[in-house]
This record gives sequence, structure tokens and C-alpha cells, in this order.
Amino acid sequence: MTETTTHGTMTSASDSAAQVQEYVSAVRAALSDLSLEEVEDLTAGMDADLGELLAERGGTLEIALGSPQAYAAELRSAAGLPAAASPGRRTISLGDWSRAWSERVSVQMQRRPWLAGLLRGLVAIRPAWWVLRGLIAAWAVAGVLGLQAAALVPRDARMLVLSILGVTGSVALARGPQGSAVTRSLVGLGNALAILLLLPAMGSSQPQVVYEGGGDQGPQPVQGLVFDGRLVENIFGYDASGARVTDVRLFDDEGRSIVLSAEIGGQAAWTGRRDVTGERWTNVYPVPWSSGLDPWVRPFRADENPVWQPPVTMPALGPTVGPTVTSPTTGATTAPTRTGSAGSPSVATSTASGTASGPSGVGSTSTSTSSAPTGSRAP
Amino acid sequence: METTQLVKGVLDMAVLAVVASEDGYGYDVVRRLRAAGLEDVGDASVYGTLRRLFNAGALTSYVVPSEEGPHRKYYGINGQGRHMLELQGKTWRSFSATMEDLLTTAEGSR
Repeated sequence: MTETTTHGTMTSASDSAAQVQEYVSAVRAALSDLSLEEVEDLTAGMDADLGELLAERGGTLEIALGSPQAYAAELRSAAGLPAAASPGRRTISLGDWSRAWSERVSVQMQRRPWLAGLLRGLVAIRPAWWVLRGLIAAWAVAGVLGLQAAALVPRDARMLVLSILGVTGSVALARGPQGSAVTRSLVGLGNALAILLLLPAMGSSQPQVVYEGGGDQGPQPVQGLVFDGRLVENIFGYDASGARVTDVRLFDDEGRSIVLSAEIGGQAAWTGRRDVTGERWTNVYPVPWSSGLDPWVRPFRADENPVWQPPVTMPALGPTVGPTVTSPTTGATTAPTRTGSAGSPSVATSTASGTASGPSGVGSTSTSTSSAPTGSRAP
Repeated sequence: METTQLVKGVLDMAVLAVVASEDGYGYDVVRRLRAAGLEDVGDASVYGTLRRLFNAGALTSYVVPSEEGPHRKYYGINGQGRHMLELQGKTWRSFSATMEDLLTTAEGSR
């Protein structure tokens, strides 16, 4: 063997190894858009084989096999892998995309006769879609104009006119001559918009979800307490010191017991608590999740992440800002006895006394009004 | 006629046939195909075909360490590969018989 590395003649073993190394690296680089596993798979044992090939045929690998890029392309195509993505992102026009899509659909239809039947059925009900699309457009326009358009079915004359216009326009659009690609794209966009608008249109004809009171209100379609659109499953109370409050009974502004939906899991068995007179209260919170379970430990729900757990304590509340509480029932007020420093709580002075000087001092100075309210209601 | 295009269509069958007679590594399969007369077969096409047939479950694969230098990846045929070869062989024989008839008829009418 000679040490001279003229191409096309016999080369030394180390040169051959270097050449193989270089060629394999170049092939791997040309495959670099594939996963590492696939590249490994395709080039495993390649060094050994190319070394053998070089020893047998002589010359260079480029002469024997062509460029590493061509080799990689052939390898890919024979292995059934996609061709290398050309550098730079390919832009696919909407037309190309829809052609490719309809091609795929027709291939699928040949494979699956039922799909062809389904599509024929959909084509057959297309006129119904044109009418519906027109109604949705009318509904959308009515919404923009501020008309009362609660449902898709027209209720007043203006809605009726809009509906007729919408349906006529929609059908005319469908039956008219095929427009340019731009027009067709716009119609496609409009159809998509109509489908999106259909969802709230259907929603608005549903009854509104509102809070309904306890059992004495008679049967109601929706029972329970809704907060921000979600049925409330439990209520956790904390007092001013930040401690948990158990067994608190809740009422609304009309004196109705606030009762949660009976349909929420675990609460169907909740029969409430009896008071000393024997009356049953189902508005006692927090509600046990199911009998025997600690109401302060929320059961795990798979669709929630993360699960909120009511904390053991909350930070205590600060002093109330505002006028000192007065008791209108007795006329007694907290004694406005001035203490030297403004703002310090005057707990000792809050008991009603016969010598109260009247309300004149309350709120008279801005600095002395931040006293904490204490149990100022006279018994 | 350009045989490259013909070889492409039957490369799976050719590779299966070579490996069915004896296990082989990539370059060994190339060499045996060439020796059999398929001189236009591309190296990379054979490697790619081996890999695709392996992924399709028609071949087994194992690595043999060599005394010097890098390891070699051997391919062998399995039951599924033999079945595939048998089916493709049947298709090929009937196809080639059809072609033969066509050519014979054409020659007879000359």
C-alpha cells in the first residue's frame, strides 16, 4: 500500500477509515430531519459495509456510491421514509391544501363505501344548511342591531324580514355561479363563522341557569347555587380570626335557606341537621361529601388539577375601617371617649352606658374613626 | 430497456429471496444480488429495503461483533417473510408468464 492519497488508486487503511467516517457523517447529516433512532437504524453497520466495499472496489466512495446526499435520498426512498424536507418552510396555498384534502377524501371513499353514502346524504341535505345559514346570519345581524333575537325562529316583524333576507341571500349564494378562489374562501370562512354562531344561538334558547331556593319553593327545573356559571358544591366559612367555621346556617336576602344542588355527587344522601326543636336544616355548611367523610377534606376529582383544599386557617382579618357601629335599636352609641392616641381601639368604652354623650363625637374627626367594632349591640 | 426501473419493482422479492437462502449483512446482500445478475441494484436501495422489510416484520436482525473494526448487522428471514416471498413469487410467476405469452404472440405474428 502506498501512503500517497491520490484518489482513484489504492489508499491506506487509515485513509480508507477516514473516508468511510466522512461519508457516513455526511449521510447522517442528510438524514438529520429524521429521529435519532431512525438515523441509527438506517446507518447501523454502515461503516463496516462501506469499508468492505472500498476494499473490494477501490477508488472512492463517491465514485462507487455517488454523493452522500444522493445515497441518503435513495436509502430513504427504499426504506419507505419521506423525502428530506427542502430547506426553508414550504408554503402551501389554500388551493393545494383543499386539492390534497379532496384527493384524500376520494381515496377514503373508495376504501369505505359507507363514507361515500354519508357524503351523498350530506350533499342531499345541503339546502337545509343554506336555510339554517341564512337564519344564523339574520340572527347575527339582529344581535348587532340590538334586536331581541332570543331564538332562531323569528318572533317579530323585523326579525322576520331579516330572516327572509338572510335565507334568500344564503340560497342565492349557494345557487349562483362559482366565484373566484377568493370568493369561495370567503364563503368557506362565512360557513365556519355560521357554525360557530350556531352554538350560542342554541344556548340562548335554553333556560337560564339561576339559583333556586330550598324545598318550599316547589319543583324547579334547576336546583342549587350557581356561582360564576358553576354549580357550587360546598361552602367553607372562616371567622374573623381566620379559624374554620363549621355548622353555619346560610340564608339569602329573602330568608330562603341556601341549599346546594341535590344532584352533586355525595349530597343526595345529605339529609341535613336537626335543631333542638326537631326541625331539619339542609343549609348547614360545610356539607359532608358523603356520610362520615370530613367535609373539610375535598375528595379527589380526576378532571380537576390541582385540587383545592380548604386551608386549616386563614389570616385573621384586620380592624374594620369605617365609622364605629351604632345600635339603632337602643339608641345607645359607643362612647366617644377620646383616648390620647388616634386610632387605638377603645374596647373598654364600647359598652353602652347611661351617660353616653350622644352621637356627636362619632365620625367628627377623621383620625378617630378607625376604632375596631366590638360587640356594641346592647342586649 | 432500463433494468433499474424493473429492479425497483421487484427489489423486495429479490432481497427476500437472497436472505431466505442465507442470512446476510447489508453489503453481503448487495454482493449476492449483483453476483446473481442484478448489477444495477443500488447499494442504498438494498439497505433501505432491508430496513423496511425488517420494520414490516418480515426479517429478523442481529448484530455480529467482528474481530477487528465495527460490528455488522445481519438480517435473516422469518415466517412472515417466507409467506411474503411466496405470495410475491406467485404474483411474479403469473405476471412473467403473461408477459411471456404476449411476447411469444408478438413474435409469432411477425
